[in-house]
Amino acid sequence: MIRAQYSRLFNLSRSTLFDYLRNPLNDRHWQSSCAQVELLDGSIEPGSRYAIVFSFLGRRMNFECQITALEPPARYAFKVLQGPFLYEGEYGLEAVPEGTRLSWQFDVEPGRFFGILPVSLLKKVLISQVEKDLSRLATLLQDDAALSKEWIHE
Amino acid sequence: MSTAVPVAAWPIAEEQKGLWYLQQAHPQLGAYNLLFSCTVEKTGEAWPSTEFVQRMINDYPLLRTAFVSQPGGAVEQQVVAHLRPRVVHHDARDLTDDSLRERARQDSRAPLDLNEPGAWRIHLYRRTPDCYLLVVVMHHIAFDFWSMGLLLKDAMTRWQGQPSTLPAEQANGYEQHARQPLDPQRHQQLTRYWTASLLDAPALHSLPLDHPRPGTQAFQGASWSFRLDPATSAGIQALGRSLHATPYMVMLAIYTGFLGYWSSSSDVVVSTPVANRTARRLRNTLGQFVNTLCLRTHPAPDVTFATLVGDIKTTVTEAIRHQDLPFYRLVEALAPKRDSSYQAIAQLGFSWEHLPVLEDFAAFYGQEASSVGPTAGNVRLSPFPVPQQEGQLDLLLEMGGQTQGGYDATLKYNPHLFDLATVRQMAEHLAAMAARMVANPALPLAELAQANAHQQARWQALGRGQPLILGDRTLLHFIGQHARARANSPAVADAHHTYGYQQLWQRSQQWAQALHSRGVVKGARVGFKLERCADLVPLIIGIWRLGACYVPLDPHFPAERLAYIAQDAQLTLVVTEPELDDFPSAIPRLLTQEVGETGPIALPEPAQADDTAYILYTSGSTGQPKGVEVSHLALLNFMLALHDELAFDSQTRLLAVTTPSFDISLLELFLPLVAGGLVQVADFASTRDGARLAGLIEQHAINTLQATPATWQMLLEQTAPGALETLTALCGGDALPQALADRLLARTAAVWNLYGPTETTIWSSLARLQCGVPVSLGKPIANTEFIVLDEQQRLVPPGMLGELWIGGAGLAKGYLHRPELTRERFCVLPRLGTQRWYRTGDQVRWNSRGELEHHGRLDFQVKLRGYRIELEEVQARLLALHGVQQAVAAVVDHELGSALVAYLVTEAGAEPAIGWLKSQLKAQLPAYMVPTEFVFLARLPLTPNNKVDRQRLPAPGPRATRVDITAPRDDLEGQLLEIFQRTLRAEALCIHDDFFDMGGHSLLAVDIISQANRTLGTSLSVADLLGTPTVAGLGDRVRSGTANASGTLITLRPGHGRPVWLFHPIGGNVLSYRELGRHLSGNRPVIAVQSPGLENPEAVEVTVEAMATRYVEDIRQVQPEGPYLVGGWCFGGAIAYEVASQLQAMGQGLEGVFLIDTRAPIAQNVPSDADDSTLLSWFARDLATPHGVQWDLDPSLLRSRASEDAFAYVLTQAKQRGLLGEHADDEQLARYFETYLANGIALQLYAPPATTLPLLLVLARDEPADYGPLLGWQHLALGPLTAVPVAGDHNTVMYRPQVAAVAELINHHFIRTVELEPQP
Repeated sequence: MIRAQYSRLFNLSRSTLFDYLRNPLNDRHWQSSCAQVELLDGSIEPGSRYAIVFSFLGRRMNFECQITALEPPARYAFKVLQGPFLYEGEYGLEAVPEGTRLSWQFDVEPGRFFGILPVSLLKKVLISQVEKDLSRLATLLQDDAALSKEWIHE
Repeated sequence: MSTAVPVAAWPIAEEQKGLWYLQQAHPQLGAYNLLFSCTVEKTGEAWPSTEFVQRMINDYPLLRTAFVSQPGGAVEQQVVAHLRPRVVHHDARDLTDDSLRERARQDSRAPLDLNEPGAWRIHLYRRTPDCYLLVVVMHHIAFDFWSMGLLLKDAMTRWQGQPSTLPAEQANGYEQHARQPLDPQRHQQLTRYWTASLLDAPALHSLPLDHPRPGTQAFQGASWSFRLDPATSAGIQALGRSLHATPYMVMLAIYTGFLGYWSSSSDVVVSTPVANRTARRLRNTLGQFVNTLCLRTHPAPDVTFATLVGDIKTTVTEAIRHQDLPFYRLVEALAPKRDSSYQAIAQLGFSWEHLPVLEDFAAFYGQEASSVGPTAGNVRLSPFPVPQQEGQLDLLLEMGGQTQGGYDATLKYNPHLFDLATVRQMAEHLAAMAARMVANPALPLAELAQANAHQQARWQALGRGQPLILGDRTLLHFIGQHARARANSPAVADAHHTYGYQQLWQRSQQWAQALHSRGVVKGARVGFKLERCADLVPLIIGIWRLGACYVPLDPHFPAERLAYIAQDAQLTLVVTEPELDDFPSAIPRLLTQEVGETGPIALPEPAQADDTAYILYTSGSTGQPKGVEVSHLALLNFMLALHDELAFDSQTRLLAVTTPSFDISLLELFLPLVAGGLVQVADFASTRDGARLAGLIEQHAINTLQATPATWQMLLEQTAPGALETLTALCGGDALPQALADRLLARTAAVWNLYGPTETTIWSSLARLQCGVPVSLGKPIANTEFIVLDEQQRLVPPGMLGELWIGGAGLAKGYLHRPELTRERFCVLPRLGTQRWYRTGDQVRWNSRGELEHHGRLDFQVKLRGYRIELEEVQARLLALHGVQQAVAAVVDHELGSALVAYLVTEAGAEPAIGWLKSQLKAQLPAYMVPTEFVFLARLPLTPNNKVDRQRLPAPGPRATRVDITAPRDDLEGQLLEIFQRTLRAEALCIHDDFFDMGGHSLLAVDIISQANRTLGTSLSVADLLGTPTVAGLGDRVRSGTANASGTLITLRPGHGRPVWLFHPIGGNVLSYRELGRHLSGNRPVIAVQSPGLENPEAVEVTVEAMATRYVEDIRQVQPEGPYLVGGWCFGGAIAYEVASQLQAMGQGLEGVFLIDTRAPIAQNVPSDADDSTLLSWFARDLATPHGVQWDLDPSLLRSRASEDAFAYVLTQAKQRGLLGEHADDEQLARYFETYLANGIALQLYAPPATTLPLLLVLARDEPADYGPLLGWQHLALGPLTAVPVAGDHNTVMYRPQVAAVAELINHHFIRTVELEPQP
């Protein structure tokens, strides 16, 4: 099993960040490998299911996932119910003076899905992807915040 | 290195960089030490104080300066606060002026350590308590002569107790000058001017050398001073005034006119120093400002001298206007092919030292010492010139001063290239030309180069043989005399029969009678086709006794050739044996068995001096042989001349081995008879077998033998060491290599080198060889004259190369039935009277010993890539190598161009490795004269005359098997060699063989290192292999503990200045850049960044951004500041793009980014199925590429396999295809593939934004994979994007020969163009 972890500081409030992260439908906006998401139960709450498709390292992967924890604004977790391999993930959000520190943890058992790609490399790749994706998320949410502020001003 | 803390520091100036580099490259260099020397005499009671020296040191920071290199390649001039003068004392009481001068010359050449403050020192030579020789030595990097003048004036002022008149502010303004960068636009303009001016200029001058050019420049020199007479000197000034040119310009025109004539070239590049103090404010500034300008001149023979002066004036004027491009930058811009044997761009120089600031000290830089000079208090200074700055160039003419109305001149020359005698000849001729030029400026240079009648007479006299009175006699006279006086003495013998002199004469009578009875009369031509035997001699004599001539037909020559000769010669009769008779029936014949006893019959008149003695056929340029007709007069002259020279006498016993179809056979068959000696005729089989020849020599007590070099070679190889020690060896017919000559000298009693064309009767000159003296052609024989002419058929001075023409009694009558050819080759030269001369086609010159040197055939003289190559010289070097028995060098044309090829016959049991041969030659020859290809032969093809037949040399093919000649010297090398042999699958490897030259490539490199470390416990790295790619080199590294040149930065080529940075391609290693690194021009370092994952799997990065961040940190350790030049091939280009982006974001400058067939990292370029199987298929493809094999493995095939099997499958397939050895380390390859995977993933995930970076995209024109005309870069390039296609596909662009074009593009775009200087 691979455990990958990463954390990043966001210049945003926990609630803003949490509200965005908790919605699987947003994954396709900030996760570069996410091709498609669909809420299977029509809701976003603990136990809700969603289908998510990733395209990564030349492979297309379809998963059925479930939200396992939803503790606003501190924790959001999910796991795979069905798919080519199993994974579980969790976001922890901590308020800090500069904003919010987001911690990401991801446990995955890829088996031979990624072929000859060694585990060590796969872990590095996952972390590097998350790093990029969260950077994009930060940009996305900062832009949104700026727009929101302008909107408020108007 | 000094530990004093500097109080000031600044970067060295542009004018100093070249000198810095030279001194670093040659730490013992003293050629750039400037001197001031004088005798210092105390005229009063006490010596005056010399405290002023310390005060000068205190006042002028440049006297307290060191030159210290900094990380990143920069060099600083650092000033220390305090410095005491460095004074070296010498006791010179017992030295004469000349001895002292030479001693001072040697001492002053001792190098100065530029790392230490004060690039100067003082030598004091005590002659008496009141008299010293003072020599001040300063390195040119710190001061020029202008500065020397300022300092001398200031010193004199201070020494007289006066305050300094040199304003400190101005004097110390060098820092400001050094910090001022050249304006980029001005730089561009200057570069354009100079590159246009020197485009395609000859890289190396063509002056003939007395000695072969050594492989490395030694920077040693000598001087010869002379003076132009007052009339010529006045003429130079007057002509200058009339042509509105300065004396400098006129003298430069004289010099280049001379150089053009002496080198037979009309394109001559001369370097000249300029003070380069164009700003008035610099007139009192101390420092090094001098720049070197390279002036290209065109002294064509048909140009008048006045025109040349005008051209020179224009050239100099324009050069002065563009003088501020530092020479160092010019070399960078032109980027000539570097050769350590000579200076780049110009090896000839001209200097006009006439600085106003040195006016007061002009006498001190004259040619002579004097006791008259200025005084300073109670001290008198007087001139005592010491030769200085020798060895900078091959030949430098220094002028400017005058003595008693005549211009002083000094030729500074390289004594490794020129003898003093030659330089004196040059000086004499230069002075004579100068006089003629200024007196007749309207005449063309060709005429002005001609010596006056007196000089020409002297030159002609050099080549005149002794007179010898011949009378109306022929050889018959002498043989007939011996027949009477020495009737019973043996004359001619073979294995079966011996003729005494009387018998010989009687037998010749029989032959004459038999021939006469068959219609042979005076003037008839008699052919003979007979096996070698003693009877040949009386037959020939018999022919002569009828007044007829003979035409030899060697039975071992092709029948077709003999038939042609018989027809062309219109033979009256052929003498032959029944077994050899295949002539047409129409030709009358006389069989040997038909000749017997007859009664006395009166014979017609025998041959007279003017009658033809023989007609010998030689090869013709049209393919058909041509008959050379030689008279009895010419033959007798030869015989009598050589009889005197060789001192043949009745004790001479000569073994005749040469075919009668070769004219030198006449020496063998008749010269002993002239002396009353014996001719022993060897049978044909023995002439081809050295052992049998040796047997005959011993059996018949032979003391004289004549043979070609090839036959002597054979004889030496097949005889015991003492077998030839009583032999006089005569050698001729082909060039005699020095190595063979040395061996002959060691093993025989005497050695003679003989020279002469058939057209001038056998031999025309001879030289008795001596140990330690180079082989020459010697001097002409009696009644023979040699002259050396230029292309306009004018006499050339001794020392200069020209074509040999031969005149005198030895000239043949001409070519039978070829009147036009006869007129062409046998000419009258109206300037030299009415006699005939034969044009030899041989290039020769008179050496300083008055002997003729052969410098190759004019029709064999070769030029390769613009360089004149002396093939004999290459051959001589090859022959001197251990294991080489015979050698021939030739230029061979093939589809990739011309190549210099060495053909070798090696000694039994010793086949030297090509790598070793090359390394030995590189140490002795200029790079352009080292053969690039080697062909090993069992024997050299020979003509029927036993000369090397160059037409039959085979075209170079695959290398022959090499046998290790340099065995491993210890166990370490032995094991390394085994690893090399196993990995390269080459049994015949030597410890000096270059891994990459033997077919090694990146994966094998990794494999070898892995094996070595595993087997031997070493810690070698691939970088070690790159640095020293031989067993010997790696062994040295292990022994010295310098192995493991690890880290990401691999120096492919050391250098100076800002590096060229290359980033690894997808495999992670940088071996693919080896060839590119060799071909990039200039002397900047080339450093490649390899993936850290190769050595430490944990360190591998999976994003381009992370890689680039790490690499930026690494490269800034070496180059902290920009601008940066970065690039890469394939994935390496993507890394370079990211590196450049990050550097730009940091505010660092960029010279540019070059991308070698790199696909743009955009989504469209990522295959949709780019998974691990795709990457594995790429890996397989890259395994095959170095082997020249294409391996396209379908990724779906790999996907169908279980992932743990896919990699093993690829390895198995690779081994089966011979792409990997059976022993290949699978685990190690798996790690290698992991780096490959990581890079592949990084490439797939990399999606950078567009930038304004300036990009050069090199496109592999023949790459089938289509990613669009710009490989997608149009989506990322917001700045300039230059795309240029080159031949080759994605992989072959990185190998020879295609990589040269890639390098040239990079050279052209970045390395030779203006660097973007950061704005202050």
